[in-house]
Amino acid sequence: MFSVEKEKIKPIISVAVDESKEVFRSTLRNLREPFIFLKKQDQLFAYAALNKQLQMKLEKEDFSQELLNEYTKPIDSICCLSEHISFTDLFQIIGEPFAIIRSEDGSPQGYISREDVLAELFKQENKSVDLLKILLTSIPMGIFVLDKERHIINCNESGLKMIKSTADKVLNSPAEKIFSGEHLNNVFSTGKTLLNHLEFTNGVGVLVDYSPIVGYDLRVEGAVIVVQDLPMVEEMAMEIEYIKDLNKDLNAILSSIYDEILVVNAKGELIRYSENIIQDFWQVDLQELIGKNVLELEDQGLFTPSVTRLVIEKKKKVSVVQETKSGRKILAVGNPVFNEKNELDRIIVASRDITETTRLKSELQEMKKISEQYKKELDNFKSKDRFLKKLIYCSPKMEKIMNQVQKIAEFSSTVLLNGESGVGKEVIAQAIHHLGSRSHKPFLKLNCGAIPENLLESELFGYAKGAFTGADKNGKDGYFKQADGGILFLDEIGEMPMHLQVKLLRVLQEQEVIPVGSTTPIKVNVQIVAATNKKLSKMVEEGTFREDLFYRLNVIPIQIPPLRERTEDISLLAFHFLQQLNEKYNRNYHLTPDAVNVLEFYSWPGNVRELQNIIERLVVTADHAAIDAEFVSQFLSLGYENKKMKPVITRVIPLQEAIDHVEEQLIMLAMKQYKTTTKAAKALGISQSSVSRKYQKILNDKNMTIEI
Amino acid sequence: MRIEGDYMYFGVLLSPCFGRVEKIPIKHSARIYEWEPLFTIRKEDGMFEMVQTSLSGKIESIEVQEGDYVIPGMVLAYVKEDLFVTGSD
Ligand SMILES: Nc1ncnc2c1ncn2[C@@H]1O[C@H](COP(=O)(O)OP(=O)(O)O)[C@@H](O)[C@H]1O
Ligand SMILES: [Mg+2]
Repeated sequence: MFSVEKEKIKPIISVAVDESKEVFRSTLRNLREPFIFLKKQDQLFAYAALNKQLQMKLEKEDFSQELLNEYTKPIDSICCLSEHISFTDLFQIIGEPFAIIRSEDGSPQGYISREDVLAELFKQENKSVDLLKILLTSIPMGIFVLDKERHIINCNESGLKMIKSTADKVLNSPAEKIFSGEHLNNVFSTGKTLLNHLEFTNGVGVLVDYSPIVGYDLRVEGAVIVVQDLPMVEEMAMEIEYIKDLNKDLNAILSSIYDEILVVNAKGELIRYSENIIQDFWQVDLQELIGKNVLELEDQGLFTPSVTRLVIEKKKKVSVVQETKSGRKILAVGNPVFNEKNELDRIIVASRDITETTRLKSELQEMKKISEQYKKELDNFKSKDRFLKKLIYCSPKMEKIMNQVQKIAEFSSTVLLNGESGVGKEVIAQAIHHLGSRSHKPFLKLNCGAIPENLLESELFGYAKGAFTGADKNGKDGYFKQADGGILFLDEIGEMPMHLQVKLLRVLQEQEVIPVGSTTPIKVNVQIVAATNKKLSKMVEEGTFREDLFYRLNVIPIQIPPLRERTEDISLLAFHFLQQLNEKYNRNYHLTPDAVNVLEFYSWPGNVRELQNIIERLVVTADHAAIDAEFVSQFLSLGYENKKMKPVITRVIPLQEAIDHVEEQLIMLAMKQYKTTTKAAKALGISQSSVSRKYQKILNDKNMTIEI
Repeated sequence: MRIEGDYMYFGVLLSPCFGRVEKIPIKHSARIYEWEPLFTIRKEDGMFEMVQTSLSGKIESIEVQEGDYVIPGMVLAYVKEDLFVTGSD
């Protein structure tokens, strides 16, 4: 509130309407004020603004009351104020050129021009009166004032609230950011007012009016945007957005479960379909099918069978797998939906392309098979590995043999193992079995020297029903039949009687056996591994082994050298057996280096078997964990060849034979100990050339190659 | 509407022919093995068709009842397959 300065209040010069022309004329002549007031019955009722135009007219036409009347305006619209002006009064004054000031008793005291009130107002600025602000804030609508550049230069709180923004974000920013640029263009270019535009700003629905601010030259100098909020509209809009979102989510969810969803009414007419469809399935555009009957498509032979028809007929859920022309498999599940009267209302057909699933499934099956295969192979490999771990060697000779065994194992050739007793012929035979393709089939061992000759035949070939008294009355399969698909290990083949050799030869040639007491041959598929410690070729010469059988067996001959010829293996085997026994008896026996020397120096006539036995005896009788040379030598047969010991002959043999025997042993020992013929010759006290010659002869006799 | 969300992980047992389901010797959640006779369908010519499958696993749901008319491709049952092959070798 502010007070008006006294000097600004102008006097009211009035004339009563019923006064004479002269009074009017003189009053007007003397008038220094811009307004003349008219009275009727002593009451002010009208006024006229005395501008130049009116004054001149009045002069010219010699004053007429009628002329004045044309320019008068009723006083009712003019507001009456007290000397103290409130802000709301300001709004009253704005529309009119002046206001009348009443004194305390209510009588008109004078008037004040609008300019003066406003000037007064600006003087009061120190009281921070912002008329425009007051104006704007008091309006229950959002108001945004734009300048020529369409920047928002002012706005009110309600406006900010409605668009859910703040003054610092809005002020001086382009109005286009918030309101429709198109409408703004329209307003600024045409100067027209645009009303009632529904707009969404910041997710809020509002009703917007665009109104230009037109300057004196009729150019648009800015605009006022009036915003009304529409709580209802906003709610509806939000709901629509929400439903849209929900729809999107549902669509996403459904399409992740189904590839296509159709909604069909009870008649079979397509009402709706999902965003995703199975392209391949329908040879027509689904949009064209809306409202059409899908059952007709079936009649046209477009697809069969129709799930829809089945659901209509059965009035319950039906699932069908259909195949498309390009071979895709589609699982379609038709679900009936019933109304309140329990009548069929809709059918929802959800389909899924299960081609991929089917393919994946069969791939999975395939993978399972493969992995099982791998597992088997791995097990196989493991058992091979385990087996190979039990087979101990490091000598080049054995290495060579094992390489050969690996190769043989892949084929089913007949193998003839030759070597002294205990060298490991049986172990090698088992290795052939383990490493080969027949490892899952039987490995049968038959000791040809251990079975009574009269039983050998029936053991090998089996016998027919009632073949002989005492025999099983149902007959019996022979070894060959039992080992079918696998390996038959014929140990001590050299012990086989001649008449059976013929029969064996027949089996090897014909791959079939004739059981004792039968005439019908039985086909067999057996790999033969034979072993002997005899020189079969010599037996052939002597006529005790059939030559034809020998050649039959001698397809792949493997000569396993005696242990003394592969001394590298001795310590390894000794440690291996010792280790096994230590584990078995929970002991910690070990061999001293000199004990190992003794073992390596020994000739091992019983080979690996003998070594194994000796180690066991050592362990069983040892008092100390450390087994030394002295202890070991007690156990070696014939005693350890002590330097001072003389060769002992225990029976009478031809002298030459004894000399040959001793010579051979001496040469071998010397070569073993000294490695070179020169050194051996020195130790033996003979020439190097004679050592070389004798050594070569021994090796030749033993059928070995020289590796010097 | 019941959405069997994960039916895609099941194997389907389909009708091979037109006919009427004569006999269903299996029950829901029963365990089935490969090539076990599961459904008997009486064909239009009066012949019986035995429905078997290479699947083994658990019956997840039976989609038809005895007396139902079936057509080729119609799902008779969903089978939740065993993860490991049960077949003997
Ligand atoms: N290289 C070797 N590694 C481990 N043990 C072996 C080895 N060679 C032979 N043996 C073992 O020696 C003993 C005799 O072997 P064996 O095969 O029966 O000999 P052969 O049949 O030649 O008389 C068996 O107990 C065997 O396990
Ligand atoms: Mg042996």
